[in-house]
Amino acid sequence: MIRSLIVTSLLTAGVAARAADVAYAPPVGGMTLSVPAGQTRSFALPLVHDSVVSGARFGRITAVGSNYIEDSLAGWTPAALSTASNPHYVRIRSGSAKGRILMVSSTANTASRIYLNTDSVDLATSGIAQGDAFEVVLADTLSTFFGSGPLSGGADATTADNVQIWAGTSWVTYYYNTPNAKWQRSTDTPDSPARDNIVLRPDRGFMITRRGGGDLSIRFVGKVPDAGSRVVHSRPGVSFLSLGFPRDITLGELAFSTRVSGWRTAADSISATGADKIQVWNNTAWTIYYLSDSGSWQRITDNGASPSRNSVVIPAGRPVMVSRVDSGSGVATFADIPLNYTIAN
Amino acid sequence: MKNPIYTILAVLGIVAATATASAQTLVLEDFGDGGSTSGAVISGTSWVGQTSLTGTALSVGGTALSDSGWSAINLSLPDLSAYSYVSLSLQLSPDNAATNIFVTFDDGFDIQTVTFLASSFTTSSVTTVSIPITWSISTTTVEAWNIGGGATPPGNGSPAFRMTFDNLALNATAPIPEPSTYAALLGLVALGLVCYRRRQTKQA
Repeated sequence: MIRSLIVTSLLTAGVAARAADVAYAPPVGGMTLSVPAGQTRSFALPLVHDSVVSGARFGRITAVGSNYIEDSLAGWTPAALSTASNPHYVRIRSGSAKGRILMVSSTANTASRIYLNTDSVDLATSGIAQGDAFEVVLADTLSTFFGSGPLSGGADATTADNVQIWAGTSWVTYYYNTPNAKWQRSTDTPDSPARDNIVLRPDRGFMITRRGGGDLSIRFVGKVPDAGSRVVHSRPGVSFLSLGFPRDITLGELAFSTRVSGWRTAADSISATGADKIQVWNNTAWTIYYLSDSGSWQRITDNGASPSRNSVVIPAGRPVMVSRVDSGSGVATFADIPLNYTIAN
Repeated sequence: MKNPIYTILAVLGIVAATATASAQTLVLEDFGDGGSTSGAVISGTSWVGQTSLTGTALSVGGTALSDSGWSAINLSLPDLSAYSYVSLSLQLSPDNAATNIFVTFDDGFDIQTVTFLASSFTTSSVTTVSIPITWSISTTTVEAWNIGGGATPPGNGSPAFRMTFDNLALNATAPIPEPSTYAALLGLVALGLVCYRRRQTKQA
């Protein structure tokens, strides 16, 4: 399980203790991924890394296109943000699209323009506008986050630890192929390209299956998010979403149905096949919840006399599988998930 | 008919253009026509043991739910940028409850999903529905695709998925007329020739 967040506030070293001279840095935290031997757990990575490339990490958008943003003062190294081995994402920090995460695409960036994967939502029409603040963040990959250890590698996916990423309609299973010295899919051959640069998106979850070799424990650190998330999810479809913050939350507090448009409810578990759903991985299986017409979260296995499940806790860093039944506007839609904590300045 | 030769030429032009368009179709899966398929049932899904290949089609029934249960992997496809439509041919079963059919393309790093509404198809016959696609993934490295209802395997809590798949293809342009239309066009050509010959005979 993921342990509770440990938050540490840092002050600039060597500054005299006068209010006018005190500078604050974003809080830094640590989290632990733990998977008992032989079991499977779900995870997300809500802590934020720093970018490693030159040029502005924070900026203001000076122009927006269908698939790019510009910052005329950025001074980025051309093509440095768009390399597969050093993937980045942009987080919008102000404006109506605040919290939106967009992966930098493989189209080479210029000194002032970054091309983005839009998740099928045109940037210019999705609320991103000139003047919005943004930051450029280094993303995790299979290689940079796990490397060749501490997950156990193997000759194939049945013997190695697995990392599974939800690909919209099915799982893609990755493992570290020890003989071939590269990350591979379960369906790959030795000649298949290395999957080392597969991104672990910050707004998505993934699953880890620990085959053996003892319990798995991975400690990682990063900045604590200081803003909520605006997450793109498929409608209709199923999306495996990170909630974007390293703190426990209940189903009732999350109130996911209020973070999106057109959430479909159901009268009872019998009719819940037609309702939108949230699924949480509970160590061995999915627990599936729907929102009843009366406004309380229920399991699909509940009968009419079951209590409200609003107090069910989603542990810190655990992603949720969101299932939307109907098409609504017919394009991917947004879920605006606020932080469930505040950061004191 | 003033000068039927122009009519004939126009019709031949239509037929020629149509024949050319038919060459710009890439069949990804014909579900058994010719005796083989490019795909297979995905293990761990509710479709395992609930599908049957009839020789020309894939029937999904039994206790199959709306997770995605069929995929083709490790493909060597050409550059797909020339194809702008995804065409799916299927017939619904009367007891189908799934509302969506998803076709997902995979370039090895990113995925792109096309959504077909079940209501676009019928239970009475095989229907072909084509949906335009604007590629957001790399069209030169698409290596896999899958099809189904899209729910988390093994589909717990999702509707029953009951239908028979006939064909999955990519088209460069809006889909070409059905073969029956070819017959109609050729019939028109023949009629034009007959009229022309009669006119020539009368003039003589």
